[in-house]
Amino acid sequence: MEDELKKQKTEEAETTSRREFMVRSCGLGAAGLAGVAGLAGVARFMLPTVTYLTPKKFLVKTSDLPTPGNELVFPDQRVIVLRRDDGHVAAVSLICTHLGCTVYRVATGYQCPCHGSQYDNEAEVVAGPATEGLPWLPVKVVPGGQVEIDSGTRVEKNTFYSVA
Amino acid sequence: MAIDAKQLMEKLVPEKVRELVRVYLKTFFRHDFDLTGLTKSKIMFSNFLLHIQPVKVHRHSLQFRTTLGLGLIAFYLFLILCVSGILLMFHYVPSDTIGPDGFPVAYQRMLNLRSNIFWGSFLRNMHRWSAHAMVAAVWLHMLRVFFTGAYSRPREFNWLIGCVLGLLTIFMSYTGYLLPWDQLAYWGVKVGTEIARIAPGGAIIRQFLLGDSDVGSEALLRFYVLHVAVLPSVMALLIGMHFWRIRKDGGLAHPETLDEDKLIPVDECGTVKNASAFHSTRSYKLVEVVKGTEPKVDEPVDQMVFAWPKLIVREVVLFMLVLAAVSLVAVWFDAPLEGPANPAQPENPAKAPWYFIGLQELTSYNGFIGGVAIPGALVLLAMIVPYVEIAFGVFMNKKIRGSGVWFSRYRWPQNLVCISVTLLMLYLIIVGSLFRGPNWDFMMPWEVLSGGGH
Repeated sequence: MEDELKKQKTEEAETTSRREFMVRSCGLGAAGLAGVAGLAGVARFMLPTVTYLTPKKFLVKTSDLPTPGNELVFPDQRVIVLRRDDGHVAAVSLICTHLGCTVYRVATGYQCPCHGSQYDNEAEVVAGPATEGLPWLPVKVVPGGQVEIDSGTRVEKNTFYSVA
Repeated sequence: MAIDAKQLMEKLVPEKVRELVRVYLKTFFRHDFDLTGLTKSKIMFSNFLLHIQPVKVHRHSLQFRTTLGLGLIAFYLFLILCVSGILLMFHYVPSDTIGPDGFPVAYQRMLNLRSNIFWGSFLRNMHRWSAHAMVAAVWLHMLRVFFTGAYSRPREFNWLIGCVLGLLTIFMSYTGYLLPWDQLAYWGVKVGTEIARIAPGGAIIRQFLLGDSDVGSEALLRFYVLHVAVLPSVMALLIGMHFWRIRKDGGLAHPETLDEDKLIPVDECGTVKNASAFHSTRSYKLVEVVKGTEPKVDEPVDQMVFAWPKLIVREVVLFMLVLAAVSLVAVWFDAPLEGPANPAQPENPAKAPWYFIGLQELTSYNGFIGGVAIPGALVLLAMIVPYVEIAFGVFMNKKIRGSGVWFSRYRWPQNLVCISVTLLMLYLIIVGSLFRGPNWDFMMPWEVLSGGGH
């Protein structure tokens, strides 16, 4: 009688009953699911559908463009606008392709102060750690005597656009 | 005629009042203040603040040369940073909106601290210099642990926690760095997040950090929340675990005492080995029940001393020294503040703070290899070192030795690798801060005007 009881108790301690198994798996499973769902939700929470992003496209009045044969830096947009003698216009991004510093214009092309990348007048890399040239940007004539420059798109180098 | 103070008190103060005072005192301190072993252990045991420490510590741990106090110094700097940081929060607004005086609000708040607030400069200086010191202390602490082989069994996991704490320290510095919204801040973070972009899976991390396509108002807000809420709480939790495990792993690593004269001699007491159930890592024994009637022999003579007052007093002294040093530096040297952030034009040269300038030097050769591959490999290597040693021990059938001793000869290969890596890092830091001028051109130190970011 006593032995029987002892044996029963040992078995209880050593084996998991069905009820205990259900409780454990439900409890831990629910906790795990809640954790994963919570993390996923928070991750999504951190990436809004619409953000107050820095705009990629910007408008310039045709009258504000540089005169033929000249060039003009737009510091807020970090873009330089070049204008050939025939009046055609091109835009080049001033954001270094290496690690995003703003390059500045020198006689031989462009120079990055942060890690020493150098670009020639066609914005191709000539020295330093950058591996890609500065992007040339599309310029589109839009109504209202303006042009739209898209700093999010890269076009062929030396692409000049007519703005007449 | 000298009057006994105790006798005098007994005469003047009625018995009942003395009794009351005793009872009142007992509600605060459950222990007495005499110097018996029992009281010394009770002082540690029954005090919330001291409870995180062991009741007894090994003599070896008390020696300054064992640790150089580095872990504690890092912890004290963390405390100083918490207090000064919370105070600074009362005067800071994380916004890049241009204020009435033409400066971004966050930047204006820096000027306000400097010109308008009692102790404003002092606390900002203290916060900035403590942050630098903490990065240095954590680095040195890591080197100390490595060179004394203190991460060997059973402390491998604590080494991992420590590595994570080290990374968090760096990340804390990095997030705090943006908040003044000056040129240094803006371009440091700009370049850092561009490095994230070229790492595998880094684009999404960058989006989480910036909340925008570029460093701007969203990034400032996110870095602020990370800096003042998320990272400090995670760090506090991990620091708690780090300390708790030191206790559970038997205090600091110390060499095994193997000299014959320090063992309880066998010939006096027979050959019975220790039959204690707690023969594990626990290096202190208050009271324990041991089976058998024979005395314990062939064991080291107890090298443990009570933590109160020896350890506690030393810890307090170290804290006062750290506080004094940081205060003096904060009084003498102003934390740098450059012009307000200007996305159109970086400084030339735009230098990172010293603990990132090695990375900047590396990225000036190649963005991916220097900015992602090499630092990533170094962090991974540091984290898996104890586990590689275990694997090596298992396959080669060798016992891991040399734990708790500076530059043990059993550990020369590991130490050689560690010294080489450290020298390489120092080399990069020195070249980056002293030999790089405008456009990151190589120059002699006397030609370079600015000696690195702060």
